[in-house]
Amino acid sequence: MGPGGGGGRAHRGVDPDRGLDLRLLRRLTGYLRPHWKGALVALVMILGAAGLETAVPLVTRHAIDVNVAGRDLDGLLRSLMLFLGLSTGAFLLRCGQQVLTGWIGQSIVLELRGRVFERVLRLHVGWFDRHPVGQVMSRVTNDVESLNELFTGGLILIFQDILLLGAISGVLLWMDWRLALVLFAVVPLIFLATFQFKRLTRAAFRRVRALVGELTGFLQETITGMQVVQLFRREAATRQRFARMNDELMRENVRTIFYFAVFFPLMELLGSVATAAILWAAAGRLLDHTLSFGALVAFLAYADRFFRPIRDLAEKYNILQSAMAASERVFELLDEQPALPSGPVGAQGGMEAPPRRGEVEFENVSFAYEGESWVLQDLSFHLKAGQSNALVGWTGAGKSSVAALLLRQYEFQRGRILVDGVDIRQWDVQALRSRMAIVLQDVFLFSGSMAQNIHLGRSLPEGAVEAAAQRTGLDRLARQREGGLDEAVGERGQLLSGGQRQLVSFSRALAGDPALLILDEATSSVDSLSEELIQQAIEELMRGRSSLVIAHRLSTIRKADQILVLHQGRLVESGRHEELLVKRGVYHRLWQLEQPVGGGRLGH
Amino acid sequence: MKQLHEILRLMGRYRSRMLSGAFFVLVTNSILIFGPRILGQAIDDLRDGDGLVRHPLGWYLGWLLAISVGQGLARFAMRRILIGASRRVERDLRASYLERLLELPRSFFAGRYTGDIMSRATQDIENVRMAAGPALMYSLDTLLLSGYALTMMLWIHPALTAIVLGLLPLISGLVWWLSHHIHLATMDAQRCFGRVSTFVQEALSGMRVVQAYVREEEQAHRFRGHLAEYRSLQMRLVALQSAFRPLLGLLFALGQGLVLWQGGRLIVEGRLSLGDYVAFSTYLTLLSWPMVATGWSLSLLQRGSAGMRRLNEILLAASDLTWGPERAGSHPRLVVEKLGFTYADADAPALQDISFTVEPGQALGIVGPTGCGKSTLLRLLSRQSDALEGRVLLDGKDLRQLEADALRGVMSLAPQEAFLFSATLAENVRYGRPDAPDADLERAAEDSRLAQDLPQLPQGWETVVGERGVTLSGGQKQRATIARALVPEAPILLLDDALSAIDTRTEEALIQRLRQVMGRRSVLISSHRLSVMREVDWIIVLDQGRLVEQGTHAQLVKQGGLYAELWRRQELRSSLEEAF
Repeated sequence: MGPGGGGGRAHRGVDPDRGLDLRLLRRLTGYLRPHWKGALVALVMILGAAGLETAVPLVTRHAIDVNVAGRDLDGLLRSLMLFLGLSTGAFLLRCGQQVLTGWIGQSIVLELRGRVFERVLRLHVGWFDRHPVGQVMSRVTNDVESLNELFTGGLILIFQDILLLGAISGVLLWMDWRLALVLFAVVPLIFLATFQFKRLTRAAFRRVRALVGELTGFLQETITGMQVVQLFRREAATRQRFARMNDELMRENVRTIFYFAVFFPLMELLGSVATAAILWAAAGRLLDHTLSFGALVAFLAYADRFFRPIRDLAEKYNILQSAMAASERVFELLDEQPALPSGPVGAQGGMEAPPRRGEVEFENVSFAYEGESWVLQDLSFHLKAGQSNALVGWTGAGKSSVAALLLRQYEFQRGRILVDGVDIRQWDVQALRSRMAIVLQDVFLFSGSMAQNIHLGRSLPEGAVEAAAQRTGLDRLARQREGGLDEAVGERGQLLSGGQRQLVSFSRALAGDPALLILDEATSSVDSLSEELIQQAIEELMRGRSSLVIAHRLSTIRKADQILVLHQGRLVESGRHEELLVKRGVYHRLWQLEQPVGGGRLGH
Repeated sequence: MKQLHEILRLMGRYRSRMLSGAFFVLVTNSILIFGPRILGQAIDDLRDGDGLVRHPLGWYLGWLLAISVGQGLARFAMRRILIGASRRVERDLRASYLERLLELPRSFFAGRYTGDIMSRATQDIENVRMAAGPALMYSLDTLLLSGYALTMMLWIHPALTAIVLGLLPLISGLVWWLSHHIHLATMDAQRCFGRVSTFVQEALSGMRVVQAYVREEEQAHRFRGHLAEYRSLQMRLVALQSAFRPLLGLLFALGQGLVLWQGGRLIVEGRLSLGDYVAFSTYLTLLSWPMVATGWSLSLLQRGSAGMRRLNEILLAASDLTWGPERAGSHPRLVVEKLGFTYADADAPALQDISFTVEPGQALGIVGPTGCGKSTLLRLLSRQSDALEGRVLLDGKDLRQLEADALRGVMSLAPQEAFLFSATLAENVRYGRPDAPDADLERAAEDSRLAQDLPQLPQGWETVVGERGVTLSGGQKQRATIARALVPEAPILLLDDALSAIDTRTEEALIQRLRQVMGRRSVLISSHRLSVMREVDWIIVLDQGRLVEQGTHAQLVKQGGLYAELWRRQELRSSLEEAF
């Protein structure tokens, strides 16, 4: 369709002008179903309002043709009262209907957003490796938001416009079918102009949006890197580059003004053409008195109303299209399969779980993230209840994968894992995870207080948070702060030091009294002054439960009941620290490598 | 409304454009206003006789169309010129905003969120533009159109006009009130939406914790709480918006009704012709737009002036750094005399009474526990802030007397935070000297050990890095920033803890290379990691902002003070650290 094709260049791949996908539309309207009563009421209100609004010019006609012409002032007053009554009724119906549709739309969006979020919560870790946070964010926020527009501004109001168009057409035909046909002749022109306008502006807006994105991105980066800009005297170059983008954006913006500047006067012109054509056609009939003045005035009033829904329909078609694209992305997310199939052991109404011992057995486990590139091969070991265990090895030896398998974040291909004597595949995932606690390398804290971060909204016994904080030594640090454990930690815990954050995460693990504790490189980022504190906390954490410490500092590993040495996904050695050193194998080499770099030279 | 004056001043540059725009507003309305009159006459003419007595029908219709075309053309010009001018004002404003930011010192940015500075650049500038463009245009348009329409109406019938005049302020006031509250409600809803987004963002970032601790249901529950709050705020907005149009419709209907009633009486009494009545009610319809536009424009102007006020907080912010006219030599001697500095929000000084000298070609190490003032010292030396006490001399000239370009040409800093722009690696490393030949680039890469990373990057030097590019490791980023600092070949090189993320083996090699660099220029290195300190000529040790020890590595270790303690800790740490 002519010049509108320009839009394709800006956004390759996605065709913005594709038709409506009925399957998607049906699924979307499915969300309306729980609200069908409200939607029905809204529809009735729309019908009522449209009916009243359509009747108003008829009253005007009556007032002029009958009351004024008949010099009936009482009748005029009655007509007037009717006129005001109808207007007020239409006003009330319209307000009510919009609030009602607003509520329905908002409720659907709430439901949709809630479901998307719940679905995301149950996706497995691997999925998040492939989907950056920003992308998921934009689905939960922006995409669902554009569906909001569909439900509040679109779907229900489309009915209204269609009904209005129908009603007005009917009245026009009834009043004077010949004049009506004259008016209808202009309609295709209006349709054409409106859709062409929408196409052009959509493409233009897309270009503007892209430029705005580029410009704000540049500005943001300049602000973040201002120190560098200034230190390297790049102010002038930065200014020039910004000026180029700024100018281009300005020009593109001015271009969009053009479309608007053409469109609105054009619509008015078309309206005038219609009026002129009606007058032309009406003139003769007025003279031979087959048409009354009142009828003409009313007819012109209807003609004016006739154009509005046409313009609105074009608007809504747009909303519908962008909602289609958004809903496709949202549904794609909703259709993602949740993590791994959950077994019956420990599930609500499932099989009873064995007592908590914290015993783990790996039997010939092999695992690859993809295809045949094995991360773990034929791995077998036994973590006895109450024992402390360490897992060491080079980067890429597969240490963290062991933890991931234990937490049921990934499915493994061969072998068997038993937790407290039950095959891990038979476990209900949530029940399984409740037996364990993992402390990760980069501590993640939610904004909130320290206490909230330890508690995490779990059903813990009274005083568990305080007890945990006391045992890890966090409470001593917290007491130095005004609010104690209730002190806010800031976004991502940035108000706390690295050591404090680590202690919070230890307390978090401890508060749930897990049967098995997993420390995944948990102390690599702690400042030296709190090192001692952390060390004590770790010993406290491990007391009286099974633990698996991954690539930990040597002092902890030394005391472990069992050290497992992984090399390229295989278990190559195991035993206690002293035994392994004597073997002079992989562990001994690792140990040597951990000695300070250039240590020999320090002796002088 | 001081800010509105300010906005008008910004538009001063486009005075002739604005005037021609205003002219077209005049033309538009002058043409427009005759439409209803012609229509009325046509109707009266049709009604009066048994045919068109005064003019043929074509005459009337021709005029109607001519008015429509003329009016459309003038309106087209008006929009293009006036809104176009506002887009230019927007561009100018944005440019001077960035200009100002570029001139502001580091201390200005320290206390502010990037998001806040950004929202001024986007939201507030847009608000000012809306005031400078649409609001001004519609104000003018409204003024003229209502003036014309009311004149015509007065001419047709003064008493009927009185009714309309009574309604006018009511409607404008209502529109103003509603748009103001809709704006407030929108802001509330947006803030809440911000909280919803933050919640999702946090949940996604902390997903491993959420899942490992089986917190899915609790998260979902809290999320629904946020969503319910968002819905109720949205509903407030919906309610206001729902009332807006229908309420206006009702008020217009009221006006039309009153005119119909009174007009009807007048026609019955023979004091008003039907044509005049039609013309009058068409003028009334014309007036409906100005009534809405007045309230709307007022609300836009209000927002615009609030935006201008927020922009001025930055546009008028004073930079406390001033530069002098002097230049420095190519191998300057750096003398620091009794330097002292206290941050605006701190009780204790960050630096106190610091004095030392760095001869050309010398290497100085700056050591001390976290928060001892190392970074502050380097910040003062590179003049990102000014010392409050004492002074820094380059070749005997106070830093404050030097030209900005001269100073920054003499010193080159690799900052603590390794920041790279979204550009190719080559562009980033060339940042301080865009015309540096490839040979210099390669040498900087060798010296900074960035060379070892190049084969791993998908497009080598041409790999796009930074926020919108390939993610580099902390060590890679630091090596790139060191290379960037090396390329300008400034006589003084400052490394502000720029080795922290580099692994020990690379560090060793890097230090070997830096030793060669040290011979060619003065180097000041601050570092947590002390291995590099064995290579420098002189070490100063800071503690709580004071210089507590100085000497060579061997001397300081022997001395058994703070440095010796830090060195012992360093050894302990590396013995505990992982091997890779």
